Amino acid sequence: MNFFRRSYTSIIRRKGKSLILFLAILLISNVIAGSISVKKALANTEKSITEKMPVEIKIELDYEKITDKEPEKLTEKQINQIGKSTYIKDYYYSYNYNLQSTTLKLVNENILFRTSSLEDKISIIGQENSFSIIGSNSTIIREITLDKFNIIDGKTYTKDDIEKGNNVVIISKELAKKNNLKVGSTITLGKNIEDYSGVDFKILKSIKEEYKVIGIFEAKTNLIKDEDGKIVEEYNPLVDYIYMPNKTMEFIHNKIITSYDELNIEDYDSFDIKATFNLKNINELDDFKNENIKKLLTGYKFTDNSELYNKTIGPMQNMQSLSNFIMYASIIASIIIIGLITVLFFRERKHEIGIYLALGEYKMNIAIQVLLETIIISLLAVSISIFSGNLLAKNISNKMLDNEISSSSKEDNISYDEFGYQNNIDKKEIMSKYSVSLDINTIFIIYIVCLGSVTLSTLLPIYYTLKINPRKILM
Amino acid sequence: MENILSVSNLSYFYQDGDIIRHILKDITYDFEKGKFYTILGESGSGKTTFLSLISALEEQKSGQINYENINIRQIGLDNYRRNKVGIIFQSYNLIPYMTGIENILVAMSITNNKLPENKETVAKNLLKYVGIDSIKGNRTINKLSGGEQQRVAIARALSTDVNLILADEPTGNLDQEMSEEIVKLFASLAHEHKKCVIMVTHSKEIAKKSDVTLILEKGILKKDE
Ligand SMILES: Nc1ncnc2c1ncn2[C@@H]1O[C@H](COP(=O)(O)OP(=O)(O)OP(=O)(O)O)[C@@H](O)[C@H]1O
Ligand SMILES: [Mg+2]
Repeated sequence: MNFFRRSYTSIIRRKGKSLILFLAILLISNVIAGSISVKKALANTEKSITEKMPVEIKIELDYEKITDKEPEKLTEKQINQIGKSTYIKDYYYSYNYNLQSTTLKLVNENILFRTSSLEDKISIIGQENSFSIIGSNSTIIREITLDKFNIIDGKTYTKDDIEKGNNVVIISKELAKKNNLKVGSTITLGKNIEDYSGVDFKILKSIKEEYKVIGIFEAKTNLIKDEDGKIVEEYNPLVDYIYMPNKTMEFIHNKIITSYDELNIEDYDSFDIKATFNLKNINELDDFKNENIKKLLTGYKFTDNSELYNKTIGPMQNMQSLSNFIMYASIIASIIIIGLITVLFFRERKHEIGIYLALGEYKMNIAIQVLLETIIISLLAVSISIFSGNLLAKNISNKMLDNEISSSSKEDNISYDEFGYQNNIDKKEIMSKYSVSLDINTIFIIYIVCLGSVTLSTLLPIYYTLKINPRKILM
Repeated sequence: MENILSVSNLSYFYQDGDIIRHILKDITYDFEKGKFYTILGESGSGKTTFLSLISALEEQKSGQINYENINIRQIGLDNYRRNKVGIIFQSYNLIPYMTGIENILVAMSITNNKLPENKETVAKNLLKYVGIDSIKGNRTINKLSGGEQQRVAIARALSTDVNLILADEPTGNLDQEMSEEIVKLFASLAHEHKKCVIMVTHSKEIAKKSDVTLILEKGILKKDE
């Protein structure tokens, strides 16, 4: 009849009391397990949303501060300096440029005409199609990370491509189809240096480079929705963009610049660097800005998507703090309630414990016995709660989150990125990502939290009971 | 016969606020193995107090209690209770939701004394010895009569194979017939099994059946001549 057997006997023989304790723990651990499950689900959802919508800081021209003098161009060095900040998780910079081709046909030719104001000129250069080129400083293409497109054939850049600036490009599947291109095909891009000074314009020099297609992407279709969420237009904004490493682009740009110089023509070739910094933590936004504002050149400012981010993440954070509150409240409640139950039972257990003490039992063994009893009962109750609490949480939290998002998104104004993709992540998408599920980690946490609070609430009564003088109880 | 328990200069007092009441005054006495002692005394004379001190349920304040010439403090009070004495109470003090056999097994699992392997058989035999058959031995305590419970308590005190049995009015709640049987049991424990049995009682009749009767009066323990 060692203390382990004694625990078991006590649970089995004192059925009524065991049941009361069991039910109390079951009730509370359901709430604890439920709130932990919800917390976990919200955190997972928030994480996957944040992946698609990171807290981004961009460097943009500050038109209010621009004086007569045109601001200096951003450089790679400045971007890297800011990117080193401890507040930054990662950062990208991409060169943006325009190149023409005489052989490559645009998918959306009409766009060029519609958007251009220089209709005369374009009708003359009509056969030359202009392509927007987007560079990359890393083998990871940002548009892939943000789910805007994915590579369906071939691959992205290798490290070598990025470092050496190899002549490689990634194009859309629409562009490939229109021009009969495959992975491995080559395309020619370049620029003409023209002279408009005369009545007829002349091509002074043609700079051309051949690029190998290494990857073909399929871009997300952009859905334009009206207020009710009904799709009014569908289009794909990325079909005519061509992707290449920054270095590759810099190489042809330099070639063009050199030619301008040689021809003694004033350089008006436009070449931009766009930098995006992803913040580790939205709460550090101001700290980051304070730290780095001095590094910015005059005429530039930081812009960020914190407002949109907060609006999207807000409902989840509201619910997280609610489930946090519920969790802590129920932990405290459990310590009090289970503590009270234990104290109540201990009045009669006192006699039994007095007997063990009179028989010379080690206090530690008595403590372990009583603790074991509570733990065994809790283990049973918590094991059930893990599933029932999860089920409960699933049913309640889905509705709650739905409501939270609906009420916060009423005043939503939709924002768009540089391609015209909607930045907002809508309710449907959030809800589809939100799922209360059980993983080993969550189960482990639930056990620890529940058993921890049960242990805590049992230890104090045990401690006091073991201080009793057995003689006073027994004689 | 050899001394098993030697009490020397044992004093004890209770403090109620500012008032100090001396209950035991400088008691010195040697208890021997193989003898059955009874302690008589008026209610409130300090019999239970004395027994609680020599059973180490209460810590002594002054004087010495030696078990086989070793101070029980040196043995360690818990250790002493675990391995050297069997205590029998007026109110039995058994664990109510366990059976008689289980109550005995509890004591057997706590002691460090070397016991036979087949503990359950030993427990059953002990119960048989005190007059409890195995049907009653397998009942939970709250389904036993007072006399039966006291027999289980005696069996428990014997189960740890100790040589010193201390009993505080064990027959207090029992009728005469039952009392006499228990007293007979104690006598045989002392005489046949060479244990030292010290029993507190109110009854002069019972005291007559013991080898030595001691009287506790005004804090002093003396032999009844
Ligand atoms: N914890 C205590 N605090 C103060 N006084 C106490 C305490 N325990 C006992 N007493 C007092 O000490 C005296 C001796 O008590 P004790 O229980 O030893 O007497 P007793 O001889 O066993 O009496 P009875 O025959 O009635 O059982 C009594 O006057 C009692 O009131
Ligand atoms: Mg008494």
